[in-house]
Amino acid sequence: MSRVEKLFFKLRIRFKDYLIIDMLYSPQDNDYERGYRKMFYKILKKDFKRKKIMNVILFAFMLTASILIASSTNLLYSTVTAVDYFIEKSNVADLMTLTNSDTYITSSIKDWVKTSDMVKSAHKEDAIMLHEKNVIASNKQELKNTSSLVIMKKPEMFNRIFDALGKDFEVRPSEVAIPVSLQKKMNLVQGDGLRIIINDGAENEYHMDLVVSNIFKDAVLGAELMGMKRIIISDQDFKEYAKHAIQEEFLNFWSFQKTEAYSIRDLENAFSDLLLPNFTIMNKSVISTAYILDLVLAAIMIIFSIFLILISFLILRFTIVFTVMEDYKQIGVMKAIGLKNSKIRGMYSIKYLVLSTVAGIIGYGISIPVSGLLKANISEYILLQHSSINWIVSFASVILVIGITVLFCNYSTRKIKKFSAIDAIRQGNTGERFKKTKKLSLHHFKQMSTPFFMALSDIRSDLKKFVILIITFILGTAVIIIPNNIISTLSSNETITWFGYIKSDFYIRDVIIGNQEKAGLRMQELQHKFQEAGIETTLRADLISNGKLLTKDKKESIGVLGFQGIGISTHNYDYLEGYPPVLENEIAITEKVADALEVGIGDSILCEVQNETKEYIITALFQTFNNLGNAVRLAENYKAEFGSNTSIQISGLFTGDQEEKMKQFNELKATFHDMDIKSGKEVVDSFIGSITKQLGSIKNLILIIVLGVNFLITALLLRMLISKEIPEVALLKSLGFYNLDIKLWQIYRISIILLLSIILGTLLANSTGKFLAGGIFNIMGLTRLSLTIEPLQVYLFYPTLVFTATMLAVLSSLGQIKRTFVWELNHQE
Amino acid sequence: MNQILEVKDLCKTYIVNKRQNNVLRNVNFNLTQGEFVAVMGPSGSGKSTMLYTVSGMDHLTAGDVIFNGRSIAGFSDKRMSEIRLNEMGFVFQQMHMLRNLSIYDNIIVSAYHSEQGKTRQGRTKINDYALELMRKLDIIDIADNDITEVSGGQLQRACICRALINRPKMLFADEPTGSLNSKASKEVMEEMVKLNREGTSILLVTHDVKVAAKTDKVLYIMDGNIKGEYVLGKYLDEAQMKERERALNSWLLEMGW
Repeated sequence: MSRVEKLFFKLRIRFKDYLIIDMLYSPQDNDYERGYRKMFYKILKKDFKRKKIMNVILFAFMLTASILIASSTNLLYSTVTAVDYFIEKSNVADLMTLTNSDTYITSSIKDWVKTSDMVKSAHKEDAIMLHEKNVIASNKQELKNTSSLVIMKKPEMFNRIFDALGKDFEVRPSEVAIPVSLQKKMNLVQGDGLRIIINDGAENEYHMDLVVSNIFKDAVLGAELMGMKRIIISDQDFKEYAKHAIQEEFLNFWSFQKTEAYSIRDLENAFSDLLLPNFTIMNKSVISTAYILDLVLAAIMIIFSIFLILISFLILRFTIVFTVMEDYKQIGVMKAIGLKNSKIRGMYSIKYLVLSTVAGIIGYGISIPVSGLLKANISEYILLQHSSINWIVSFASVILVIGITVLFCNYSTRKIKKFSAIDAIRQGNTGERFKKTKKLSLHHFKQMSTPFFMALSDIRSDLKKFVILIITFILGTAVIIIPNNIISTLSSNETITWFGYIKSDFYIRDVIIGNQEKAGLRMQELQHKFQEAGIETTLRADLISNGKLLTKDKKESIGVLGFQGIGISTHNYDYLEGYPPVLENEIAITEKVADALEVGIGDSILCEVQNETKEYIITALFQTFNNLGNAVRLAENYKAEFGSNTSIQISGLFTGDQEEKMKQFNELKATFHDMDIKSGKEVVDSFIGSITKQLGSIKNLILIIVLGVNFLITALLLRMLISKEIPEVALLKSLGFYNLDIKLWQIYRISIILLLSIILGTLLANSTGKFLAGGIFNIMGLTRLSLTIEPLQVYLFYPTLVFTATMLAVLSSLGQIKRTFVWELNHQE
Repeated sequence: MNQILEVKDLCKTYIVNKRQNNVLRNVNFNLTQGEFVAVMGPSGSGKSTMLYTVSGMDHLTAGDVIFNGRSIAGFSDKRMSEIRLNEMGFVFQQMHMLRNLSIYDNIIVSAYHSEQGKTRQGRTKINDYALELMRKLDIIDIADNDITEVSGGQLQRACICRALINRPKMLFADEPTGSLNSKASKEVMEEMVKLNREGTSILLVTHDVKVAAKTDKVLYIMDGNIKGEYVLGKYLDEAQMKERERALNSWLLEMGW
């Protein structure tokens, strides 16, 4: 008997373990390294063959995680750099404003530009205001849900636009260039016809039939959050339109470039000090912020990749620990014959290094077209920089994942170092235990079925075994429900109130009015018209004007949108805190503005509206999406001449029940088709419809991946658990349990874990969702997000879906139970 | 006397790597109600395979097994499960137990799973019987213990309690003392003898002459066939042991042991 054989004899290693000696001890290979390599290859081959499904599932996870991390980092890097690149290449001005083409305004601005040391250069472009119904496509597709629209000549100096390839282009007479958003809404292609009408219905109505020659990318007005869009026509055609346009439709688009010494904020404050009426003021940073929604997709994908990577690591750890436990004896034998710990650990780590490297390389390869697909959407709107850095970044992220995998493997195999050869041969059981195990007692349950009790008992005694499943199920449920809650919130009836409007049955966006009185007259006129058509309505309106808020010391100021309800009390609007403004000197401001100006309820503040500065007491705080949250609400009693830069949002109520109201809405829309009558949902869609749609696609993608992840993990872990529990299965069979009873034990066990996890995941989603989504909503102006939870979806539909997918995995993994025989008990140690 | 088990021309063949391996070849024997029979033979002779095949835990290739008057050869898995639950008890060499249950719960789990265990009254009766068995086998003190907290002998006695909890007509034991030291082994065998005296039929596979010497009859199996049987008669007390062991040893030597 050789020395090694004697040692094995002493260790009471049985026949099958001698097979390992054969692998390790290669007398014919005197070269130790060669022997090791041979053995190593055999063990690896055996492992791949024996744990085929486990290895395939693990590989699938690593591959998916690699694809996602590579594509999402690529997407995020491209998007972040693209926004800056696009803004830079378009030469977006530091400050832009849209004003009426009024000689007083023009001369005031010119004087300011001349005298102010803050302005390096200024540029004025002419624009003519359009109504969306007056843009008619040859394909009869109507233009809907665009807040404001102008026609302009092609800008050459500031705020430039580019074609799909990022190149400059020319617009010839009878041609029109439209932004991507319009092209999508109207389903237009190059060569289609577009009729643009001004002074619709008036005596001097004028139109031109143009051919769409270019679809362009617009840095300034291209972002989804930018309500205003521009249509570009040739200089000659613009002159023609200008001849027929009335004065009120003429606008000036001003662009200012600041001098080095001042900040954009200084420039904006200085411009605000001119107290000129304007439709809108935008600065460079607002333009950049407006693209935030394009980053959301990349951010969600990165979070989701991290979720997948986390799950992969958990599986990896479980697989390694499981394999090490399964191979205790092998490891003991290896240790007994003097193999170093590092060699043994290396044997386990190398497998996962190979798996993660192959998965990483293939994943990176697949991420190239995937990144292209993901970027296709944003590249339609944003000019992407041609650079190889994004590919390097995504490659680096894959390498990082591989590196972490290897380190993690090394960490997970540290147990090998700790136990001795004898410990290994004793299956790692040293016989020592310091804690009392927590067990349920079957005899305390007088009715419970034994499979259900066994399931409960397993979870109670060995919860650690199910940690991966629990974490996966909890996170999986949460990542499905969070976007669902956000979508439900954005689609809820409450959303309209976030835009500063009162909940109503219908809305009409009307053109510029002078003051409250005129708004009242307009409402009366409309109400009368509707009455004549046989539709009873109650109308109210929201006047929306531009203004400026200043702290009392005038050191801090901010441009705001002012809302004032006409025909409706301020009590009908939602507030976060305080009491609605009632007196003329009372005002409600948004929480965002309050934070920016460091004021609160009870403080006094100055507000400038139409050349008039008045002191107000803040009585309430509210929140709105409008103007990125910079807004105020004035009391009903407030009287001011708003001038021509005030828009009016008329909203109305019908009489009767819901069905009746729907009928009346359709009738009103059909009778007054020339008016832009919208439901609350349509109004909301005009602002954030595309976001909701985009979130919907992400949600569906996440749902598919999570269901897949749940399926794979359940299948993987259950197979591992059952293969470890073969003695128990065989024992139960010997005791007379049916296959079905044993399957029920497994099904109950996963079901209990799944149900608990779904409950926890739902609670997690419902409680943390608002904090996670809150950041983005906060930038958009919503400071206190309260998520709408659709009970049927959140508590029934998605849990059922997750439960069904997971149960399918359970059922598909129970085959081993039937294939287990009682005599296998004798083959178990 | 009634036959509890009749084995007729039992054959068991395994196909390993396309090669036919005839493990059992025309095995024939009977076991009378209340009889205690040991099966001995060299390693690889087919002892355990025979035990598993006659108890319906493994499928037979040919022949017939009549258990308690019924041919169980063609029974479905479900039917066999019912028989195992209500009429058979098993004791294995390795003392397999359900890890997450206490000793007591391991003993009662199959009874709770039976028809009797579906009612509150039934469960009360099971508890009474389990306590009675544990007292009889002297393991009442370890009822609430974890399976890792007790000795091998105690654990094997717990396994015997578990095997008896549904009052089986017959007990099958595969080297029940194989993993025990001589003291524990003796204790376990004493309990089995007691059970047999109370009427339980036992078929036991063993390598140990001291164990086999306590049974009524020894079957010697070699190359998948029963080569002979040696009737020892009822074991009465320890005083007989030396003589029984000597007689059995000399017979085994004759058989080629």
